[in-house]
Order: sequence, then structure tokens, then C-alpha cells
Amino acid sequence: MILQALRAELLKMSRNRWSTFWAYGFPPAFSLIAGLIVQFVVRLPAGAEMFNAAAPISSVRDGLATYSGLFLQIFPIAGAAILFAGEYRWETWRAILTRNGRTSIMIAKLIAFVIAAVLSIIACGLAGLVIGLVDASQAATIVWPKADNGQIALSLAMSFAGAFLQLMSTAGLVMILAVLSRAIIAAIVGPFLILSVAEIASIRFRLPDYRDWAPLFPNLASDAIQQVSHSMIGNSGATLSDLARSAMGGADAYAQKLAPLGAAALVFWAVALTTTAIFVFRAQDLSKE
Amino acid sequence: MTAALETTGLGKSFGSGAGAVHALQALDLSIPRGGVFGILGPNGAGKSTLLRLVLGLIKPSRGSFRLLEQEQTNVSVLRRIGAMIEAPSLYPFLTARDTLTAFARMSGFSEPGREAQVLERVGLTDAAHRRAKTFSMGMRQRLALAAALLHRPELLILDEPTNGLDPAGIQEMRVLIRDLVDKDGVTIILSSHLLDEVEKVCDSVAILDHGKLIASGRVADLVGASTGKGLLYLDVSPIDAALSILGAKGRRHGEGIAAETTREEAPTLIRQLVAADIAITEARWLVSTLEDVFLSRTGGEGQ
Repeated sequence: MILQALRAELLKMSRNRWSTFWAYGFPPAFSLIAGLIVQFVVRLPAGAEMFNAAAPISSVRDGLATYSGLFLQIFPIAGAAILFAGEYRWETWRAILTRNGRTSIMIAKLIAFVIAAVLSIIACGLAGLVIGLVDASQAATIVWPKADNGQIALSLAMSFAGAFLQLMSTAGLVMILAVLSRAIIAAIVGPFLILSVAEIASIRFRLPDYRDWAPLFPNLASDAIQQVSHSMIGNSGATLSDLARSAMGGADAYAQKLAPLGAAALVFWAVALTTTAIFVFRAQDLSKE
Repeated sequence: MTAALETTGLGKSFGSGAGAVHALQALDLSIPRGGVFGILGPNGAGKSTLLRLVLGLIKPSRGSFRLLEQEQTNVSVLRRIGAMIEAPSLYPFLTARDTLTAFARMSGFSEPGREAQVLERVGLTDAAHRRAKTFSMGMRQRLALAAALLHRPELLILDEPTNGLDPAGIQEMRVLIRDLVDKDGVTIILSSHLLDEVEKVCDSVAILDHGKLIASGRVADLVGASTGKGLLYLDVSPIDAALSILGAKGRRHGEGIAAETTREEAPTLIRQLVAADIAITEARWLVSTLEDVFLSRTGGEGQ
């Protein structure tokens, strides 16, 4: 039944083209366009003296980490809100709950989000690759990581996993707020505000006041994972944003220690929030969607 | 005859304590398979609450029900039902055909050409590739009905199915409903405010008011046609003398009186009044309708 519901969800997403593009296609498109603007509008006029080295692998890694910033998360948050609160908005629960089970439909929606999020993160990585290659074609020197291929692959996989887990914990938050509020707008604004507050509150737990439980903040958890990913391929090809994140997020040693807890915390948030949302939805009276 | 729906002490309350709203109170109702069963009642009577309970959208506060002989409202039972509850619920960004494809996928139902078939049956073939957001209310209603019919349900639950339809559309809907019952063997539970429509299309009805069942039975029985009883209007003078002769059978009605009697008894009754020196200037039968029954049972004034 989950597969049947998933096929229906994917059909709806494919037909709701503009919403799907804005939710999952715009962030990679924005990253690509912004990166190319930097290349052609800032870098070329500045000349080779200012940016004399290009690091394509770092650029891909940066692309995969696009969603570690809250700003671009607003788009998949909106996409998740449409998935989880859309049936309340269009009053379609009463039309589909005679056709499939509550749990199956919610799990199918979650899987649909996973598929869209994975494709979006990969597209962000590809946008980073394009920017990196354009950068390499302009730079005097191309910096390749000192790490071997296996480490590079692991680093990219960790960057992908960090972004993915962060998006899934955010999706869990959207899901529970969608079920509780029964409104798309609340399912967008609510998580954005909560994550903004968490981001502000987490500032005091960055270095040098790091606490062992700090990765319970999703953004710090993701930062720790991204920092480890970054440290695996070295700083030689680091971009400005890498260095800035490194300075804010903490040293490599701290990141190595906290990344596993960060990953576990993100998994915990994702599982706890989605499970709670499904249980609440199973018991919810739909007297009026 | 087996029951399509059987409720036992079924109740639903919203809220708790003194502020609780008892939308449905200890409802005992049996709806047989076959035919069209109408559920009538004024706003807030509990009609939609009953239908939402049956479809598992809300959970009962007390009592139980059996749907298609099953105790539990699980998906396997619900997939034998087609439903259209309240306003049509559709995805604005999907075309009519995609709407049906999405619902078919959700149901795990697959039958090549079925979407086109049901679109034709509700008269939407030409609008198959138009998005639902461009549809009029009547077209939305037809598409929702097509979605309800898509998977060939045994039981069809229709809440106000003629809302938004023009007179020709209402007539088509009436024919479609009778066809589904008479030719396809579908059982239909229909809730409506249009009492003349209900009377034309339904075989049996239940009347709800304030969450309680106040009458149920075959339409013909409720309007008194099968027993031959009716209301005879008499413009008489003096009224009080006439009422004392009629006793419990008579009551004031407009400028005259209404006497509950049969066609066979009517001449005798008139002779009694004439023998008592009561002047009769008019005598005519009042046609009893479902609306009269509905209004009189729900506190309105009937004929």
C-alpha cells in the first residue's frame, strides 16, 4: 500500500511542476547561477592575482553542503509543507483515506520527500562541480586534495549525508507542525522560526564554549559532519566559505569527536518527529480538514 | 436482507464537559443493501458526522457500527466504497484525467480505459485534459463523482450530490443514481437537503435531528401513501363544532381544519359534519410529501 500511495504522490509532484521546482530545483539553480556570477562578474575582472587557485573537489563538496545554511532550507521546507499539509489545504484527506491507510500515506509522502531531497542535494553537488570546473578553467593553479580517491569519495559521501540528515530532521519538524496546525503556511513559517531560534541559540555553544551535547542543535550537528568531511580532503583547496565555516564551527578535532553524536542527533530528530507526527495523524479526527 | 451499514448506539461528541457538542447521539440505524437510502436532516443534525464516522475520518465516542458486514473500518473495507463527502475535494493542479489516475494509484486499482469510461459517464470527456482549478462547481461535483465510481464500489456514499448542478445536471444525476442501483447493483447512501429530489430518487430514508434518529423507513410509508391515509382540508363553519366531532383526527389548518382520514372514510366524515349543521364550503385533499414529514418531525410546520 505504501508503494501505491508513493506512485500517487510522485504523480502529484510531477504535475505540480512550479511548486516542485521552487521547492527542490531552485536551490541548486540558485547555487549554480550565483556561483557563475561570482566567476564571471567578480573573479574575471579581479584577475588571477586575487584568486590564483581553483579547487574543483572542494567546490563539489561545498555544493553538497548547500543545505547546511538555513536560508536555502526554506525552499525544501515549503516543499515538505505542500506534501504534508497539502491534503488539509485542498481538503483531500476525505477523498484519499477511503483508498489507502493513514500510516501508508504518510510514509509514502516521507519517501517522496526523501527522493526529492536526494535529487536536490545531488543537483547542488553537480552545480558545485560546474562552478569548480569553470573556476579551474580560469585559475592559474588547480588544487587537488592530497587525500586518496577513497577518502575523497568518503568526504563527499559525508557531506551528502550531513545535508541529507539535516533536511530529514527539518522534514520531521515540518511534518509534525503540518499535522498539528493543518495549514501549509504554519508548516512553513513554524519550522523556519524554530530553526532560526535554534541557530541563534546555538551561537553560544560554538567554540570555545562547545558542549558535548551541542550537536543536538541540528545546525551544529550538520556543521560537525561537514567539518569532518572538509578536514578529510584538507584545507589546501578551501574556499572562503569553508574557512569561515571552519572558524565558526570549531576545530577539526572537536568535529571528529562530535560528528558521530551529530549524525545520531539528526537521525533521532528525524525519526522522533516523523514517528510522532504519524501517531498524532493516526488518532486525528478529520471532522473538517 | 443483509445490511450495508448497521449502527448500534453510535455516538460522537466534540469537546468535553459542559461545552461538549453531541453531534450524534446513540444512533441505531440499519441501512439495507440495494436501493438508495436517503439521510435527511437540518444543518447540524449529524448527517456529515455519521458519514465521516463510517468512512473512518473521525472516531466514535461510543457505540459501534458494521460496514458491509465488517466490524472494523479498515482499508480493505473502505476500498469497496466510493464516497463524495461535502464539497468536492480535488487537487487544483491536476487535470480531470490525472485526478482519476492519482486516485486509482492511491487505491491500487488498475483497469485500462476505466478513467475515460467514468469521465464519459459523468459527461466530462471533453474536459479530461483541463485542470480541476478551472472547473465550475458543477464540473467539480461530476469529477468527484467520477472519482467515487472509479474503482467500481459496492457502496456509494454521496453527500449533497446535486450541489452546484443545473436542472439538467440534477436530472442526469438522478438518472445516473437510479442506473447505478438498478443496473449495476450498487447500494447508495445519499444525504441531501433537496427533499423533492430525495423523494424522487430514494427508496428509504432516515431523518436525523440534533444528532438523533427521529424517523426512518420507506419513503412511501413515511408520507402515508401506502396506508392510504391522507389529510383532508375542510373549510367549515363553525370550526370548534367540527373539531369536536372529528376528535383526535382533526386539527386547525389555516382558515379551516385538516382531518386525517382515508378516501374510503371521507364521505362518511363529511356526512357527519353536514348532519351536525356544519357548513362546508370547500373540501380537498392535501398532498402529503416528504417535506411535510420532514418539517413536522424536525419541528417545522407541515401542511
